[in-house]
Amino acid sequence: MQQVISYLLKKKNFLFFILLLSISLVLTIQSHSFHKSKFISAANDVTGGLYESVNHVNEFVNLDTYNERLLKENARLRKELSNFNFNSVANELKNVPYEFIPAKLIQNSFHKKNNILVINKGAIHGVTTDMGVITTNGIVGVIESVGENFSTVLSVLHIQSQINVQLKKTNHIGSLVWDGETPFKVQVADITKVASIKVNDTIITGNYSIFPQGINVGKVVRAELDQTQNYFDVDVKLFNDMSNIGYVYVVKNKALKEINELLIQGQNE
Amino acid sequence: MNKELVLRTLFFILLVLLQVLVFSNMRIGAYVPYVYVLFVILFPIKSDRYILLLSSFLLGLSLDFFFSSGGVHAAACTIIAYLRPQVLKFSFGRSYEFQTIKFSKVPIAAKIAYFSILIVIHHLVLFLLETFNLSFIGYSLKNTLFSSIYTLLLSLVLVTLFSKRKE
Repeated sequence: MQQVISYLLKKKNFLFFILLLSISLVLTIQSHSFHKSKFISAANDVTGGLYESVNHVNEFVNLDTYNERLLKENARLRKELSNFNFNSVANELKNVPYEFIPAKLIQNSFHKKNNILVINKGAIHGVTTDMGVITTNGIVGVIESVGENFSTVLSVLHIQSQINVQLKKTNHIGSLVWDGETPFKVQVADITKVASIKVNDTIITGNYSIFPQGINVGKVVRAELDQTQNYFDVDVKLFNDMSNIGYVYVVKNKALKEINELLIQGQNE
Repeated sequence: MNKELVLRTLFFILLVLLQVLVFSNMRIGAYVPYVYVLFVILFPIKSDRYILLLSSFLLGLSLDFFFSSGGVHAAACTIIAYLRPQVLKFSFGRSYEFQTIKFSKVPIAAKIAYFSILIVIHHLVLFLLETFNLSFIGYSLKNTLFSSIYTLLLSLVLVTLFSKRKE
């Protein structure tokens, strides 16, 4: 027994090293597994607060661009609205299952394989995990972890990102993934050969996703049958400029709670 | 002892802030310099090993919080902190055993060897764990090479500037 103890004492540095290394590896593995609340994230007040205060400078520089984007969006929405009769629309709007929480991107990242972004809205603003994040032009990603005042977003430029999308023209579904090659191109997997997909086709968010259906995603720049000749290899250029995002909307699906409750009820019965 | 502790803590905080606010934004292409490893490289040689291990682990963990990256920086820092005595011995030979090294006075070749070995190990672990997927090994190796060169150059410049001001 004494020998064991003296042996352990001699090796105490090594054991301490193994302990610290295992903690880091456990945290790393946890961060690579999907759908788990992440302990190590920038969605806390210290890191978020620092990012936000630095972001004020960046915001000032880009104010013109952001204003122009908002104006364009307003113009587009006004045009769409002018086609409707106000009284009938107002009633319909009450039943829209989505709510949009405006937020500001305070930390961007697009050059890594695992790009995680930080926004300045958190739990007290009603953000929860697995909400979609969009901009005027297209989609950005999915909420990954939520702090009190800040949240992190799993970017579409993340090798584990997977989002349900469809072809605007024919409604064939696929999933939006990223091969990690360049931040300018993402891929759509699982588009079957019956879908006559062509270059310049538009990809939109699909029916079974956390995003509202029909949000613009990007434009097909390459579509070829893969080796098995059953599926298409599709490259998509995002409508969003991922290097300059600015303001975003977090999409809250009000119906999601009901759906989940129904699912749980169904399981209990 | 207390003065040393305060100084180290300040250096720790300074490096974390510089890394997050400055060095991470000094991207060239896809390559980012991780200059914060200077904390491990320049840690006093006479200090206890477990203090070096613990503070390096905490340094990596703080950066993991900022980059939402799990434990990759913590793992990379812990590994180079553990391997540091061997690297010191390899780079500086006998003078390390007498524990009389002053980083500003060692021959430049030995200094570059010491810096680059630790930086390359750190970056290799970092990029391998970041993707955690062997199909991206090409990416990891390429990033290790170019980011290491970038980090090494910046670190040497900073260390030279800093030590000159001291004299």
